[in-house]
Amino acid sequence: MPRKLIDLPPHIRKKLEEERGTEAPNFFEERRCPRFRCHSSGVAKLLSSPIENELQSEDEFVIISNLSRSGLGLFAHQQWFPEQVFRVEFDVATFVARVARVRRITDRCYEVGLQICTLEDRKDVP
Amino acid sequence: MIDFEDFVRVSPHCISLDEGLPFDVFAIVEGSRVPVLYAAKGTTANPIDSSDPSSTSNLFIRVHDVENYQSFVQSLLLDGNRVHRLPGIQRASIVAEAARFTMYSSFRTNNTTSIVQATRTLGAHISELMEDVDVKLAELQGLLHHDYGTFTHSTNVALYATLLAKKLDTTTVSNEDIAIGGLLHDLGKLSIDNRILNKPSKLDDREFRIIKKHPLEGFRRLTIESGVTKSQLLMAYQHHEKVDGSGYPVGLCDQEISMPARICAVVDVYEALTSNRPYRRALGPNIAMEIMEKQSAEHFDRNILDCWKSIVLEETPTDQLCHAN
Repeated sequence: MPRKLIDLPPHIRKKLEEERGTEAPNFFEERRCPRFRCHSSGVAKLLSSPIENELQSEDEFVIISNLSRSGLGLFAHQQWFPEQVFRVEFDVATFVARVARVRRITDRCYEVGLQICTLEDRKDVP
Repeated sequence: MIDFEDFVRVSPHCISLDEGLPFDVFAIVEGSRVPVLYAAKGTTANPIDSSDPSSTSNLFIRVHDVENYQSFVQSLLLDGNRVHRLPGIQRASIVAEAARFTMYSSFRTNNTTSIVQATRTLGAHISELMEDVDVKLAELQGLLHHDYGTFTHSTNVALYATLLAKKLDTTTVSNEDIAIGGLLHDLGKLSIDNRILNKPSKLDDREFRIIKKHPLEGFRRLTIESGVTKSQLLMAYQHHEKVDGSGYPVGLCDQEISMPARICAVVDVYEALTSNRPYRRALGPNIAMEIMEKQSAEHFDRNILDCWKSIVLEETPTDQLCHAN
């Protein structure tokens, strides 16, 4: 899988590395379940899309930032679109999730909020 | 939509046709404070001097005749042989009137499928009109309505955007795509409470946050419909993005925003400024352009804004520049 670089700004990287606990709701969303901060890398594969995007044909490297019972937050190196469905695999689980909202951080870093559709696999973490 | 209690303003270009009208037509005449009967149902209306501004904005029908009027205008539009022989301005008026009233009816259903279906036919007519007729912006603005209804705004944006796309001579997207995208760009507002949309005073943070959801909401509604193109989806999703990255919902910059959405962004703001709002009256074309240049030029694609400016300033007679329609 080509590991395209996510241009994560230093302040976000620092926050990801240092902060733990629950994520406060932000300006753009009202969350139903508390989200727990995490910092992990994963792979996303586009399963379906309402909009054709030639850039998204390959598996994509992502950085997971938070997780809750119903949602997932991550950073991707390119723009994703609402209603796209991805399989997101990382160290603790594999989810199928639908994109709910997207925010551009830099031209190679987009913050994505996803709604979890199904839990496909859960790995036992020691 | 309603200008006087129980009355709706209609286009004289659609009324002054030589056939029996399926509804009563009313007019404001000197000395009257409400519309009085001008042509009774079943009669033929006298020709109206459409070059006289006072006569072009003073014809009305009863609210209960809106559906009859809509069918009447649509039948005019569908009569291709006849419509194609009409003078350009009259044809433009019929297309604009059919678009506005069809959008009014379909928006009232709040049914995305029926709205999308309606826009396909209207988009084809708008694009065909722009290809066949050398429509001037001033003439177009003169015949359009400028009230604050999402259906009116969407109709005007579709016409302006198609005019701008024609002038830009875009090759990557068709004028029909632009017309349909313009009609659909504010679809997400159907999910927003009218008390917020029509609030005459300044929106508070919560209300503004709700308003800002409409591009995403419109995009979501359109994704489940078949036959909606990528350009149309992106016009709904990205028309509040700004090239300096300060827009919403994503905060995209420059070319990251699709060309159709950059076109839509320019005419969307222009249309809003030149139409009546609950909190202010319509501004004249040159004042609107001045505001766009001075206060928000960095929000728009420079080439597209310049092109629109050239359309506004070159095609608008000086006597119309300072006055709202």
